[in-house]
Amino acid sequence: MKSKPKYILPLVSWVALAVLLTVFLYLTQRYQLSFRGQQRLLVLDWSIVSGQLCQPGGFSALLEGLLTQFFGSLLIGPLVTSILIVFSALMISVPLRRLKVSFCSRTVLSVAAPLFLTVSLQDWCFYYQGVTAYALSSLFFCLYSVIETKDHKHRILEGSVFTVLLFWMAGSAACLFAVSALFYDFLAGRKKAFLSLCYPLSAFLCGVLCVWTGNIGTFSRALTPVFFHEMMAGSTPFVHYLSWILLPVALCLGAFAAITDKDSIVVQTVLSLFFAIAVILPFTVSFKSLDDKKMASFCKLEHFASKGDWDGIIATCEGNIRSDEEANYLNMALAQKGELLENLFKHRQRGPFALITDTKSQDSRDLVRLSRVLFTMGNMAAAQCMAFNANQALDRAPTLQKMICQIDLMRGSYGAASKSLSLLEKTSCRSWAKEQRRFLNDDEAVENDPVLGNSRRDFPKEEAFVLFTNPMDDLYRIVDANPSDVKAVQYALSYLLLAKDMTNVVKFVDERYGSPALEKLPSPVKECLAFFSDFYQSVSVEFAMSHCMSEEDLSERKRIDRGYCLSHGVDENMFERLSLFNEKFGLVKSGQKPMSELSSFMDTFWYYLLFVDVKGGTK
Amino acid sequence: MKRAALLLLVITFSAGCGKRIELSSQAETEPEIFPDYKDITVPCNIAPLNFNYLGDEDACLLVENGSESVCLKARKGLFSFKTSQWRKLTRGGGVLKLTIAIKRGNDWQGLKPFSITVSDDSIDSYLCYRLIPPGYQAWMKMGLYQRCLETYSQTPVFENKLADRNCVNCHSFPQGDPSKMLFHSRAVFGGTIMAIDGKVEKLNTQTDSTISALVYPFWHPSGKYVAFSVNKTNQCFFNHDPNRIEVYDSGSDVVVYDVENHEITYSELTKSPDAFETFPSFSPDGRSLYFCSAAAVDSMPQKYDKVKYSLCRIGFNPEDGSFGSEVDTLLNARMSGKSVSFPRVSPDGRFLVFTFHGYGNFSIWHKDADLWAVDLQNGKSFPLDKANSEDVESYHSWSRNGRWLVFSSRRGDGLYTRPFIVHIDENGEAAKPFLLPQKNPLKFYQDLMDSFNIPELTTGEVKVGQRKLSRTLRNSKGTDVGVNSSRTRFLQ
Repeated sequence: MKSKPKYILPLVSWVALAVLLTVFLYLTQRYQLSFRGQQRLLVLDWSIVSGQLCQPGGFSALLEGLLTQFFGSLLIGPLVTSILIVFSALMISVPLRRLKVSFCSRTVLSVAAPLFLTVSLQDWCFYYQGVTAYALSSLFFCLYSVIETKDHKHRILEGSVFTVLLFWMAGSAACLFAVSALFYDFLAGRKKAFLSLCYPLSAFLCGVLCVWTGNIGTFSRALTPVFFHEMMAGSTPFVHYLSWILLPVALCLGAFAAITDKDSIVVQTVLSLFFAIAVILPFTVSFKSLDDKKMASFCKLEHFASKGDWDGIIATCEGNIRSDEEANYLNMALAQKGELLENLFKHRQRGPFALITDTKSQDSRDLVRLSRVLFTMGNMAAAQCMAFNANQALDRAPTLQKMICQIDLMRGSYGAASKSLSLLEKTSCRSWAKEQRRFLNDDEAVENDPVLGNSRRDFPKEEAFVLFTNPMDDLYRIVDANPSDVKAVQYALSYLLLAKDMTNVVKFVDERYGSPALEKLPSPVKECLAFFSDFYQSVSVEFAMSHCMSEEDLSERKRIDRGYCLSHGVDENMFERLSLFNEKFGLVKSGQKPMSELSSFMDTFWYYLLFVDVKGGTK
Repeated sequence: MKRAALLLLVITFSAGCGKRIELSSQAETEPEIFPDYKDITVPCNIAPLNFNYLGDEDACLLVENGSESVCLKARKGLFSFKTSQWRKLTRGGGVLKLTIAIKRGNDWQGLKPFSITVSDDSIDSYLCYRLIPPGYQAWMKMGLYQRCLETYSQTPVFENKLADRNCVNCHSFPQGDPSKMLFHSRAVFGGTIMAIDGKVEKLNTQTDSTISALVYPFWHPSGKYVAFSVNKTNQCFFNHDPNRIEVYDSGSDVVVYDVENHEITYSELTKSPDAFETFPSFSPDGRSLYFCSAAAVDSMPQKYDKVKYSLCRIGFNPEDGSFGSEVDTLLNARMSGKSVSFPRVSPDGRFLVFTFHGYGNFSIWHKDADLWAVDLQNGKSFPLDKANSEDVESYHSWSRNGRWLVFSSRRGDGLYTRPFIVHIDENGEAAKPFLLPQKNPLKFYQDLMDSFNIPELTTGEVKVGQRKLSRTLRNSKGTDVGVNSSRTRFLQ
């Protein structure tokens, strides 16, 4: 009973720390962590797993794969990460305790180094493997400090074995262990501590061996945190070194504190506070330096997109669109819900780029976005191309692999689809893959499936290159091939409306009104017709000719009269509202009224047409 | 008679099956196996041809070669030979008769037997290829690998993880000699790596006189020269076509690189503004340079299907690196209405095998692409029917004895390229090809999400270390390749 209070405080402290860290990560990185899970396809096949285990650091990579599989749930990522970081801190606190560092200082110092892993995780080019490897390294460090050996020879042997084993399990994190163990031996005054130089030497030799045998490209990759940073991303930011550098620093500070604050609680408290401030300041600065809002937004939208949570995307973007990329997600979500046209001008739109932008980009985030948008548009060949590229860039992502497989089924490329299914059957997507098997070599089943069948009909009859000119050309072909594809029709009309291409809106309506996907015209299209009619009915031949318009052209445009509009669902109320808009527009234009006079028209095509600057054709 | 036949079929299997198996009947049903090794011809030094029975029943395999017989039990459908067993069976060539028996109730029923002909002609011991996802533009992991054809051992020649995920491509060897190799590296550590007798150098091959850095290579048999194409290559994606992608050139020429002097030379005849010249290839005597040439088309890619490459030849003098003064057209695209890619002359100089397809030059994305041959003695061309399939046949490489051709094909699943090996007899006739053997072929090929790209036969192992290659790529500034205008020949 007496020992109870002795353990309660540390226990409560560590649990509280884990909870706090979980909350912190949940608030700051839950979507980024979810995306890490989303971009990792863990294939549970012994030949693949064993191949991975043979590589230096393979065990930590496997551990990463196993853990991130569950990050789709927003709480799991922060929770697991928090546990790993607190676990690392706990492991580091053991050697600190053996250095006789007081509880307060020990807790602060042991948390300091691993805490910077949360900063590193903000950089999506930093592998999550860096966290698992750090935890393994801390575990080995803890074990090294507690295992009592007969003499220094045994200790050296044990430390060297740990280093080599850790190099195999966690790659360059073995160096972290090696240096920490060396520092610890010196600081703890262990016998013949200088012999512990064997550990860094062992780690170095492992690294050299890996470089010489062509397993690892460079010494910096073999021996430093660069190992956990994507090599295509260029140089490794210094911030990724902090969690490593701070560990031996924490040991030194711990040893210093142990000497200074021996009996004085006041000194202990002051030192702990000093350490805490010394950690929090650089932590805050570095955390902010890597705060990538664009990436955070992308991860959040991708989280919802991968789950088909269109309301989530709409709620995220509503009134808060900061870029064309975000607008792409919003419009995609609206299209998926069949509300794109009706709600087109209820959000900030700035030209057709709001529907699809950066179609030539090779950035992996753009590729992911484009694959989803093109899939929704029904541009399956382009979607597959983007998904394939994104899948390569992300080193296989489950949702993209599924998309590639679905499009192969739509194409009737059953051999390729079967291969994807075989792969997915060895992953967490097993049940989905098994379910899809029934479509293999069964055209009838594919054609009767609501998703696959509709999309198969989207493949244009006229052969052409995709994304060769602008997305609208592709949309025309898709709509021609499959006039009942509501999403494609919505995208096509939205594209024309956002491009302010009224002539082609009218032409589109002329040709397709009454088709299954366009039985009724959505309000923005009606507004376009009403405006078109209103405008051209008042245009004289002289005016038209002075604007390079032939008489035939004008008479063709005058064909869209009030009667035409009424027969296409435009009602009298809309014409009255248009008159009111024109009236108020005149007053605003002449400066008699402020712009706010037109605020009730901000969600109309008319307002968009006259007041929103549109960025050009394709990008 | 029927009873007698059945009695004959009551064969006792012992050996590898572990217990005696008697065939109670013989069906005429063909066994479903992967890979299709039925009635193929294989080299005497090939690795054991393990294969999978695709039925669900318990199965045994009886292999007889006249003097030897072996019985194997399938494990999860896999018939796996021990190397010693296979060597015993294939020693001295001949025909192996293979019978698969399946268990029906308590009885074993033999399925229709098939044969494997073991040719005395051996194949070069190594195959070098690039493993790459059958992709479009992006990549992550890729590498050049070599596979010992006598075993299943695959080792990396160079993996792109050593050069920050560069793109590595177009590996090439003179006459299959592994001591001389080149490959290109694109992206961060760009350049062309030349590894000759252990010495590695990096070349910067973009010059002011050429439209691009050096691209498709072919070594001169002397090892002193390498013919290259220079290409302005791009790609577009079809909206529906089963070919999916069209990779096209909007300009290309053929030049020759002098290995010792780090210079390129060319002839106006191989670098014409009115033609797209590509895929150069020397004859085995080194005195002719074959290449593909198409009339230049001004609006690419819109007219992608109008570009058709003819098979051409120009003289080459290895003594001074000069070109002949005229170009022979061996196969005229205007006449054939089709396009030629990858001309490769057999080591004896008798046959030239090429890929023949509807248009363009990037045949790996053309489902109609087939292997054809020209008999250089009489100029007659003919398809290698038995080697071809409904799907793509594309890149190919001869063995040194000219009896084997390895080629890439997408006949498996229509997307992932696999290497097939085919026997070519002295009359240029192809036997039925077989898929590169693997320890567990079904699992291997199902799991592998990469294509085998540019399968090149080599007579031995590439020994230059990856570290040496990566160090050169990463650290060397590279030697700038010049243009020797004095040797460059222009028509007067």
